[in-house]
Amino acid sequence: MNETVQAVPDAMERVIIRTVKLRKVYSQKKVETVALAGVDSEIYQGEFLSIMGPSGSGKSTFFNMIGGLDSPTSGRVMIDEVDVAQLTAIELAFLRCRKIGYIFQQYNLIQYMTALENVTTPMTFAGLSPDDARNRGMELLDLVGLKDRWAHRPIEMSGGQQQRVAIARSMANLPTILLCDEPTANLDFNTGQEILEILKNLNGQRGVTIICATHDHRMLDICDRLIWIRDGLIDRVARRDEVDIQLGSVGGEAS
Amino acid sequence: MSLAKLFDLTWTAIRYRLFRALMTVLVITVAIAFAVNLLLGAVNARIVRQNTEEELEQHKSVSRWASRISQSLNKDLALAEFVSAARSEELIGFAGISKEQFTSLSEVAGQGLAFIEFLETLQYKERRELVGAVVNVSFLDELVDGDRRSGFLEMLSQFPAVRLKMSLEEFEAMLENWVEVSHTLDVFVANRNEALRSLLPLFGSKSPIQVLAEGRDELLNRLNEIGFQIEPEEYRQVVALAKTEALAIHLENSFTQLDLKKALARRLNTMPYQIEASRVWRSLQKQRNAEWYLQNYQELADNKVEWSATDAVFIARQRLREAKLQDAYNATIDAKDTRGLFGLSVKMSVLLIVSLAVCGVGITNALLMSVTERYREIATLKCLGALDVSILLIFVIEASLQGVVGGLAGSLIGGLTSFLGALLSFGSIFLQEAPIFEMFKVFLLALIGGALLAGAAAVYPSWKAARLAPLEAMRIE
Repeated sequence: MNETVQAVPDAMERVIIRTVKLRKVYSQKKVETVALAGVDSEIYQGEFLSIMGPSGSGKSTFFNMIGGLDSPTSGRVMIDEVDVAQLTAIELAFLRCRKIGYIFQQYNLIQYMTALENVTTPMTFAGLSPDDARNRGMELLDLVGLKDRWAHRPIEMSGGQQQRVAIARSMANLPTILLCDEPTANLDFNTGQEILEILKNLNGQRGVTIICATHDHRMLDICDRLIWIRDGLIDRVARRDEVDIQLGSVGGEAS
Repeated sequence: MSLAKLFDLTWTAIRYRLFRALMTVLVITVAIAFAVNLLLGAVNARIVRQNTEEELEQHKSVSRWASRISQSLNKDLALAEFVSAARSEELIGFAGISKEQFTSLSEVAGQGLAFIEFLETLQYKERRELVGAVVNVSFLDELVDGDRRSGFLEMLSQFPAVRLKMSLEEFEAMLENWVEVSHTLDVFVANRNEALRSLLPLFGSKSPIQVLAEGRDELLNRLNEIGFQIEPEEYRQVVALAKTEALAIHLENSFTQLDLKKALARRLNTMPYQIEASRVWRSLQKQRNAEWYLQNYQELADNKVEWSATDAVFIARQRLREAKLQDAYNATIDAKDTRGLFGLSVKMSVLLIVSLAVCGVGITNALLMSVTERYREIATLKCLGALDVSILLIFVIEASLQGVVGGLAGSLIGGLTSFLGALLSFGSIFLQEAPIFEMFKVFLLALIGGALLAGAAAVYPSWKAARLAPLEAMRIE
């Protein structure tokens, strides 16, 4: 399906991320791999969006592209109607620091820092005073339920706890967009549930736009909108209430 | 982001990888220790050489005066004296020239001496072809002749490897003026030798040192009369030194008298043929031994005694010190060559640069590994909004910290080893003027050098890391 289908959710006014004919080609040893073949999409402020798709579909590439972590071969990514490709290195750093929070599958906490230091590092990048940073860091840790473990290092925590610290860190500079790259993939069912709960709360209470690349079908239950990607193109876009969810099926595909 | 926070971040990272950091510090320590050892070794040698040179000069002033008043000059010696200009007024007097003449002539003489020294550096074959059998000043005298000169220059053009130290015009001009210099030298030599002949009656059968040791006013007057310039004060100093020297020679001769030699051999528990001056002097350093020798000297040799045991002890100490100075002087012959870096010899500076380069490569490698290992961390920091400069600074600060620590440890170790080394080989000669100030200078240099070296070595790896796009960095594992 080459035409882009936009299912416009109700009460979604502002487009926060827009992609125009986004293309990404990896060429290695003269073999060209088309990861994205011209994707047009719009992501609205305050929505909870899931990006789904099989491995190798270009899902991760799309995800990285809209996070400003990778540059497109052609086409544009507009964040707040600003073309990311036009930004200088310093502006890009500013964008990553203030506008976007990242959550990774591997947590990517900095091993030699305590939970609190991990959370406050982006704040110091943003130029916050140490006292303010500490206060806000403790608040955020409290938000994810890890207030009493602020002095622990990543190796002293479980996977779920590490991911929660990562969420607190991603919220450090109160970004408007939260990019989650398979946040629950490395976690068991219950812990994953906790993480999703926190994300849902962030979306609901703080109005943070959350974009999740995921395989986790539970995500279908809480997201506002879904984008399926297949072979470098948007296969289907749907609102949650349009999707028929059958949890518990094995071997089937969601679409 | 403030520098203090960056510093803090770096410090936490170093603590986390303490072992790796220590290894890097070790590399820097070894390199800096080596460099400091080399530098301070050279400084120490130079200082020791200076000290010994000055002191040996004093010790030698007697023998120099002895030869001045007894040895006839030849033209080569005269040229050397002309160029050194140590006693120019005396020289002007003997040569019968004015001060202005002397100034202009000594310049030409300097060029001539440089030319002669240049000829001596030639290989055997070239020297045989170019110079032939004639040596030194006489060769220059020959070259004044036009035919001989053009022959020489023609021959010279056949040896492209041989280059005059001056241009051809300068060479020609020097030879033009050489006639006058040569003439002046002739006059100088003739007058000086004439003056020396008039001293002969004072000598009789005595050696020059003995004559000086007598210290007669007649000699002083006579010397000044015939054109030597010596102040009464300097004369008295020379006389005092000559007295000890004369006694020393007398004692040294007495060691070889058969009876005394046998007695000494018994005393020193050795064979008579193994008795040599330095050994006897060493034993005579002790008052007890000196008194014993005085007694034997009186009894066995039936000599007239003109010295006390204390004199012998004094001379023995002086002799040993002289020997030690001479040893130190010979051992520091390398210190003369200061054409390299920081007053080092060329060879040593090459060694220094190579060692620092090896150290630089080592540090770069260590940091490259440290950077590669931390790609994920760097990517994360960039995702969190770190600037390229911050990433760069983190690594440069890390390396510089290691450099400072390594530099400090290295300069301490290097300084200590070179200090102990100099103390061991030169002992008191070194201690009397230990180069404390120079040492601090080298320490500071090493500290700054270590930090700079490490910082510079860190720039490439950290720049590489800082410029990576966050995702690329995360992909490389």
